[in-house]
Amino acid sequence: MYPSDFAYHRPGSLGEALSLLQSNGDGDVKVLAGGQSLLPLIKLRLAQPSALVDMARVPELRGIVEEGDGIVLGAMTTYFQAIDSPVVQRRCPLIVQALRQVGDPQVRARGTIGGSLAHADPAGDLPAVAVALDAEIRAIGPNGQRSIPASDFFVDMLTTSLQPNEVVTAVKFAATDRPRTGTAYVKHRHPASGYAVVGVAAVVMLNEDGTCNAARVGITGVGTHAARAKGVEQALAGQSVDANTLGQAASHAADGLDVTGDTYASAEYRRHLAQVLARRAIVEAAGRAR
Amino acid sequence: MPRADNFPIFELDRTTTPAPQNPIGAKGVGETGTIASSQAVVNAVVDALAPFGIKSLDMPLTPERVWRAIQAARAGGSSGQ
Repeated sequence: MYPSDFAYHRPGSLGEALSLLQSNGDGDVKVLAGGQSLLPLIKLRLAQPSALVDMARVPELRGIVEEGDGIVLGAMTTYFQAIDSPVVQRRCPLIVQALRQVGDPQVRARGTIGGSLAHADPAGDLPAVAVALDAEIRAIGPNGQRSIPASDFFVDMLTTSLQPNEVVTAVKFAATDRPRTGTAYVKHRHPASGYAVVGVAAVVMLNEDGTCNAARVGITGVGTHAARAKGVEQALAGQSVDANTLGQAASHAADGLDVTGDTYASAEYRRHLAQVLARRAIVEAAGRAR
Repeated sequence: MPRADNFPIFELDRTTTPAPQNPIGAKGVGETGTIASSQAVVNAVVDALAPFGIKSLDMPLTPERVWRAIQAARAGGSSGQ
């Protein structure tokens, strides 16, 4: 549980952070955010970076602001700051409901929005929310800034489309405080780690007659990375939200996913959980939309 | 919450029946309460699953193990355990 030696940098601005990432180009430099995933990896020597660039004192990565049809959270926003924010509570209650279920109070106090997404844990809670809320991940690197849709951001287990010298600066989430729109996040929590064995984030938009206009469903823990459950969404669109539709829609929860099992839950059981939890999330979200 | 001063008065004595199964006649009593609790939980789950015809389950009762027992009972009428 002792890390190998590494250099430690704590820049005071984004410009300074980026130049540190460039100047350490030869070695394996890691960006340190809340450290809730990276530090255990370093202590187990599964990661042995030559240098860490700690973003704790980079002011440009902080803050929660409303922007058009959504809200923008700085990458270094902690889970607790997001949960505690009236803006997030009002405009994206799905984020609050999901983050309340992350880890334990210590993890929620230290873990960050940007760190969680950049780490891309296949059982992380926030990635499911990000895909369900059509998040836009904003990153900066030597070639300037760019925005990456969440659906293109997660590419494989612990792998994103970020370049090694790019840093997540902020994440924009689509707001859901609209008429006849409801959201929900439900998970089967691993009893030891608190990670999602399976987690489902649902956004349901109803028509005036109560039928489903459209739905966005994000799923985590089932495949190698969080993904939209398109089969579920398509089965809901235009339908009345009744038992028949729900059963039909939920049966598609794990479609197209490369389901992997572990010592806690086999692939078969995970597929079953995905279907059960997708149904529950949709029912809860639709209830809030009414 | 019961406290020490709620404890009943009792007399101490010693048993004079050595266990025949081991050379020194000792009996384990230190964790008798702990040992029984997990069986009580398992029995409660097995009782809850009685409508499926499930008569026994092995610990640990992970969610998947309970789910599999129900699936097996539905498929063949036998719990498979």
